[in-house]
Amino acid sequence: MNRSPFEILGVAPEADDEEIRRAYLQLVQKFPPDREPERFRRIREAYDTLKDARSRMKYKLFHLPELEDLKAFAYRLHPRRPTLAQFRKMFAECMKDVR
Amino acid sequence: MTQEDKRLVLGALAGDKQILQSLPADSPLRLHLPQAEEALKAYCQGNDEAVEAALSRIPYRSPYRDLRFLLKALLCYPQFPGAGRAALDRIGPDSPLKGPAEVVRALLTGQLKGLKPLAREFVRAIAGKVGGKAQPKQIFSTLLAEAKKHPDTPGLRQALSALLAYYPAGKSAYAKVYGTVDSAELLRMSALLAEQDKELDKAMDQWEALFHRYREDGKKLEAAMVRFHMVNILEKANYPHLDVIEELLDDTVSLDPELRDAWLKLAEMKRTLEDERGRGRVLDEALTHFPQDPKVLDAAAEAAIDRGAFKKAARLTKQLLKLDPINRRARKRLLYAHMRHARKQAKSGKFDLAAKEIEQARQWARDPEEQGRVAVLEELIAFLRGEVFEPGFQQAQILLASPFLECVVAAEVLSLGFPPKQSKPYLKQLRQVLDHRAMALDKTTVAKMVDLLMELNAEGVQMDELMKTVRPFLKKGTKLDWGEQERIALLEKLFRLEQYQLVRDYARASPEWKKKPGQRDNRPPALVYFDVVAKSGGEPGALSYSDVKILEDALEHARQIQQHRWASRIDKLLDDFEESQSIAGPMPGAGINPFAILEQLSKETGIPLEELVKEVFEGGDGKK
Repeated sequence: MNRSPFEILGVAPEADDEEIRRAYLQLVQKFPPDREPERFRRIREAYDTLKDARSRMKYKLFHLPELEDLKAFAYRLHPRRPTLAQFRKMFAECMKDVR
Repeated sequence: MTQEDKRLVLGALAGDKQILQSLPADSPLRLHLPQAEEALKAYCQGNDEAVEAALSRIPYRSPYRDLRFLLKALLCYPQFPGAGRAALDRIGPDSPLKGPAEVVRALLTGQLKGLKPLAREFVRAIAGKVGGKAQPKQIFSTLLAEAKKHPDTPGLRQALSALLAYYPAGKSAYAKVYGTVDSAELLRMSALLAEQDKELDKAMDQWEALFHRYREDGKKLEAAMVRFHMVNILEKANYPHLDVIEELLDDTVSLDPELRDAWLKLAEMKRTLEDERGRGRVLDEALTHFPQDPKVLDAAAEAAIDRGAFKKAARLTKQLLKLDPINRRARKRLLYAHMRHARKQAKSGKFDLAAKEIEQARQWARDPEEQGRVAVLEELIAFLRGEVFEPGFQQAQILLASPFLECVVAAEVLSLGFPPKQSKPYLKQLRQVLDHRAMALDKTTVAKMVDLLMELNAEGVQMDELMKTVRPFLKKGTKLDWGEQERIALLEKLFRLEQYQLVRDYARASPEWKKKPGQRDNRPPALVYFDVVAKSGGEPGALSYSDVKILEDALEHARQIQQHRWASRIDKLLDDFEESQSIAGPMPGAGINPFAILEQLSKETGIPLEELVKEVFEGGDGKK
């Protein structure tokens, strides 16, 4: 389930080359490839998709998010979390398995 | 950690009062519990930053330390399942949180089988209905409710408009929040959805409509991108009418001359359509837009070589090597461009210019093989010029191993166009050296020789003489242990050299070749293709019906094992065969008008036409 490259880089859809590059470099510093390889790969892919006006136009014209991606986006707006009671019940259930 | 210790950790986290009361006041289980609970509460409230802060306060040697990995994995849901699983992998088999880790793993993988009821309830509290298909209407309602409250949420408008492709009924609700959706936008999304559903005809119609719309609106870049996208769709579908693709590419570059990949694709298309002049023109134009682009320089240099413009090829390749000094392919091409230019000059008697080209070539020759080849060429040109009585190839002998040296000498003798009287001794000598019965053979030498043959063929050298000597050698090479891909690469080259018997020999030397007639052909589809196409001498019209049957089996096999490239190549051969059958010329004798002949005969002999007709059609005795 993928976030859009704009979301990954944390930039607005109207951002220009310079803003996108700056956001990319900041994220690379925060999530270097040796420590967070998966996250770095996604950041790099997002940057490649948005790095210049033509790439951005290509993305905007030919990218149709899959339903699962849109579902994930909706999830991020309204993340569902368990209650503390549900957490505790889960721990209690696991405790029964420890003999 | 004992089993009892593990129970205590889980009991404390579960808030079991009995366990909590039994813990001594200075026990780490009691001391570190507030931080652990704080982290759990922060996660439940969706306060992710507070989770991180609380976790950082849990000491490294605390019995709750693995809670860090458990909560980190939960925070990775749903965006980074891989990172989440990696975090869980750090919880060892002896950890008290091993059980909870498996529950979180089930959440990340969507595999709830085997989970107990309370664990299942926990997962569903986070993920909702796991494994169910996403419903566009539900997602639309959720996002629309958010849009009504916070319409400027980043990405929300785009997500809702994308959802309209799956849920067109939401159009009016969307319009109430963000205004009417542009009809071009609806067309675009509908085209994308058709593509996603593999309805390519529908998608192409809609892209075509959108292209015209953009062009009329003066949106040239968008129009160009749509055209280029259509090219990609047709190519993926192996669309056979290349002239249509060529037109689409022409449209693309005329609307947006800064689309480099479209230029390169157009040049490649011209090459496929054997329009070398057009290819050169396209690349010259591309160079005016991308004078420093390595890919454009590379393609332009290659095109220049293909049409014999060696000087230009050398100039472009030098430019490319300035930008990309370790480009091995470009360096080799430059070397061969100078060598080919040297041959061309020598053949027309311009020996000084040939010597200069040799000098240039020497600068780009790196390994002994390349240096040896330059040395051979230099000596032969000196011999042609009359500077040496008989070339000794002393330097080349040091650099090149026999029998490759002899092969290179023979190749150069032929490509320099030595008169037969002079070339015969070399070829005779070559036959003696290349005594295939006595020679130990390896795959590298065979491959090198085939490459050399390809090079000579590209220069238009008559291959027959050389093949007389090299063929037995290559035939012996069929017995070597070739890998599938190596064999296919070799077959491709031999096929281009029109060495059909060798193609068949190599295709049949594969270990999967059937032993008995009637047995199923288990060879990879590529080998079957080459075997059959070589049998017909590369002419689809010469295929027999049993060949067609074999090809149909190979096509099915290629599709089964998902070798799409070979499936499409076999499919094309079968199409060409069908076409050759439908456009085959008239049957012998068809189109001849017998009455016209009889009329002519009547004039020449004076016999009345009626009598001749009666004679011919009724046999003179009144019987038909």
